[in-house]
Amino acid sequence: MDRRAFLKLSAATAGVAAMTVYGSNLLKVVGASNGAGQQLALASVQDPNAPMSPLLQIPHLLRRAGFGGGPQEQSKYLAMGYDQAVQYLLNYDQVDNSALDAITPNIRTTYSGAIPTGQNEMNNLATWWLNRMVQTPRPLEEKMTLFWHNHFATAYFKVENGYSMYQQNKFLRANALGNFNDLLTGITSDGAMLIWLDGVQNRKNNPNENFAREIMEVFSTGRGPYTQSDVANGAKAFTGFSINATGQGVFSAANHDGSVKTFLGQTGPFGPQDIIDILVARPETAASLANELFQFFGYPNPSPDMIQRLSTVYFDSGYSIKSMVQAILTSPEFISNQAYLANVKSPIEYVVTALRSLNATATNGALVSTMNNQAQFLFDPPSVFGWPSGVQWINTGSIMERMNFPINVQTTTENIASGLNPAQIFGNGVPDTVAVGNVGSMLFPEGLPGDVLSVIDSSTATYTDVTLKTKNTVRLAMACPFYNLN
Amino acid sequence: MTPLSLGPTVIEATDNNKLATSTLQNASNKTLVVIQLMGGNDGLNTVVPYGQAAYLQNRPTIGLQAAEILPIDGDIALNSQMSGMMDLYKSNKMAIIQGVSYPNPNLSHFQATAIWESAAPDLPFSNGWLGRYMDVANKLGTPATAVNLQDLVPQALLGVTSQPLSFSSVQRFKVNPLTKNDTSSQSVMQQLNETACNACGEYNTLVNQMMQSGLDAMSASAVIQAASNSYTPQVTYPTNDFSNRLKLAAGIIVSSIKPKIVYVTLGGFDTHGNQKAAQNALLKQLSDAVSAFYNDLAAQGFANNTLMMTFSEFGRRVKENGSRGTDHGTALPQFMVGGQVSPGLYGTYPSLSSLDHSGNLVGNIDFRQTYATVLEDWFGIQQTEVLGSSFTKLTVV
Repeated sequence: MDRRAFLKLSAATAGVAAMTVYGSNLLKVVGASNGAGQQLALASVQDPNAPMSPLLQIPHLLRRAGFGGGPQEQSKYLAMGYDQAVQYLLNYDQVDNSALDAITPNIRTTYSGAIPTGQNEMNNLATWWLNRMVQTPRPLEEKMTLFWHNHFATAYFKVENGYSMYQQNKFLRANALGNFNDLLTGITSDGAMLIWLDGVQNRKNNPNENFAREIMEVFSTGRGPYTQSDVANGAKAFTGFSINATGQGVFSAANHDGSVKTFLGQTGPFGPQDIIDILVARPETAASLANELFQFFGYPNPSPDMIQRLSTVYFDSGYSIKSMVQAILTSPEFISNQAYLANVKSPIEYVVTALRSLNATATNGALVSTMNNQAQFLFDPPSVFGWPSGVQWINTGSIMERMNFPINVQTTTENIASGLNPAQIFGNGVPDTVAVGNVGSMLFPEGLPGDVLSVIDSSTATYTDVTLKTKNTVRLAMACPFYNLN
Repeated sequence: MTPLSLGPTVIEATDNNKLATSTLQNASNKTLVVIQLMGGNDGLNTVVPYGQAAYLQNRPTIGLQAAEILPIDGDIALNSQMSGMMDLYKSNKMAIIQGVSYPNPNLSHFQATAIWESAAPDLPFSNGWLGRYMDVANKLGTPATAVNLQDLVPQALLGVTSQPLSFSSVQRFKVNPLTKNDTSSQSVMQQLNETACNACGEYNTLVNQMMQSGLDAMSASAVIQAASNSYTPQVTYPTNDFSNRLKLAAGIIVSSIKPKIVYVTLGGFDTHGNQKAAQNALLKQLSDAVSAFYNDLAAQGFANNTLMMTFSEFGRRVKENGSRGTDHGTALPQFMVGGQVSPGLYGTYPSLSSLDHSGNLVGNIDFRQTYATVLEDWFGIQQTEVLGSSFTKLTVV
């Protein structure tokens, strides 16, 4: 974007301009909830259940249902209005994404193929996906794929096959807003999953309980309804899978334990699909998914009423994830004061939102290492339970990393492909204080508080070089707690 | 906000939401080093009950044979990969607590980990036993510093009013200058964090915690850098990530930081398949590192001030599965190592022939007995303040 376009956006687009003006005292006026669900001091002034100011709703929606966005993206969705913006995000299959789909990761191209010489598959997969998140015109598609990657957390450190990890990622993306029975069925015979949770080791007469336990505990019902006996019988029902020469999971009746089993109170010669059908029909599955989805998009500890409403949507829609997400994004809870800035950006959200908002680039190495340094490496979650969330991302080490990473954000001075142009931001007679405010509003569309901007102003004024001014502003804005909230 | 210093309190707590980070000072110099073995360590191939015939009967492919064990007595032995820890045992620096578990043991990684880390089998419980210990120490006016040496903070270290210093790399634990000669980066960052605190922090505990973490990180950075850079180990440590972290731990223990707790993890123990080679390699890594760490501390004059304790969320099934591995189990041994440890065996090894309904060992020592011992006999505070009720202590410290 050139300077004229930038200024036009900040000055002439009513919403953005208003937000920027309104920005400095916004947080004090609105009052937000903390991650533990406790009310803040201002909650007594502002009803936590009342809708947040309309001016906050689009930035909030884009942070949660996507990865934020700079002035152009904010304006695009503002122009639609909230309800239409939700529909646009949900119906992403109508948005052309062929250019991005044409880009593939530099990894082995077949299941048994060799890793390209000198390449690190896991890094290449991670940078490929990060690039998709930064570039996508379908933010909810990538956000939901990330949700499922965390839900069905599978890691390269055990699978050790980039092709299998890539196939699983494509499966999750293709079903990101699909039917939950399809997701559970597909993941059960997924090549990477069969390695990850030892499905290929689960043999007739020699069952391995790993998958049978986790499909209940982590993927469907959650802890509660099952006993160790259900785990053992479930394991028998899942016997019979192997991986063929092309990396596909295949089921063989001959290798399956077809005996009669009792599972969650039902008895029969159950096989994999029978178990999955039993699991998806359980109320605990509906409640677990409702809870996980709401916490992902909304805030921690949703009310029992919210869970009940989402469970009803789950059953009424025949297990449609799209219906559940739509119900969340259109709920009063999602746009309540309580939801505003109630989460912490995960390391992935922290990086991707910055690049999308600034139209900037960073070196691949810096992107990958900051993920690693903050313990969120794509394709390599720490365990089947996935990554932590919210306040768990905050500690002295991760905050130090967040103070340092922005130094790596590249401008046009360093990288011709970057859209972050110091000469336009700080040059051509734009006063420094205006430029600082503009950069702050790119990263935090509501506008950073005035006293924070003052600190950035006086620090940035100590540099004469526009590239350093730009980098210093970006760095301080990204280190600011407001940017780090979601 | 007062200027930051490395004095008795780094943070001035001005309201209830503020987290008082563990500070950089403590009264006595006793350190607990917690080593968490993540994934559920197979205790049966760690401390091997080779005297029980049922051991090899249940483990035809992964059971350790005579050449693969280091006998302690006629009944039990250490895995032969653990020669370093065997030396510590023989020189009376190590105790083995056998059959550690709790009532109705949980076989879920997630829940069992939460139970061990919170010391509250009636979940949910959002903080940890060591975090609560730090809270109590703060309240008593003897703040305790905890240092967590991985990227994420384990639940065990989460307090209500305390949080640990946390980092996995000393090199990265400093504010980098914007340009090579820039000297203002850290002071601007401090100013930014304090200002943002004023703007919103009092209303939002997330903002507060973020800023407090930033300020704590910056105030601790220089000391941590110095502790690491000036440290000369007295032994040669093995070259792997786990050993490197214990070496760093040694540097921190002998420094002016005087931590009460250092927390390290070693992962990979969830051995559902092809267990033997994988677990053997991990146990060797553990044993070699612990042995180097102890010998280093001894040479530095800190062996008597340091107590190491291992734990894992559960042991594994007695009978091996069809994948030359083991599924989730229950009771397992804990190791305690240090100059002040009363050496030897505690508890009794669980019988391999009278198992619970899921084919798992029945423990005889509650893990909270170990914790109670650490809290009262090492840290010198009332166990009930942290554990809520009272458990019979062991005489291990």
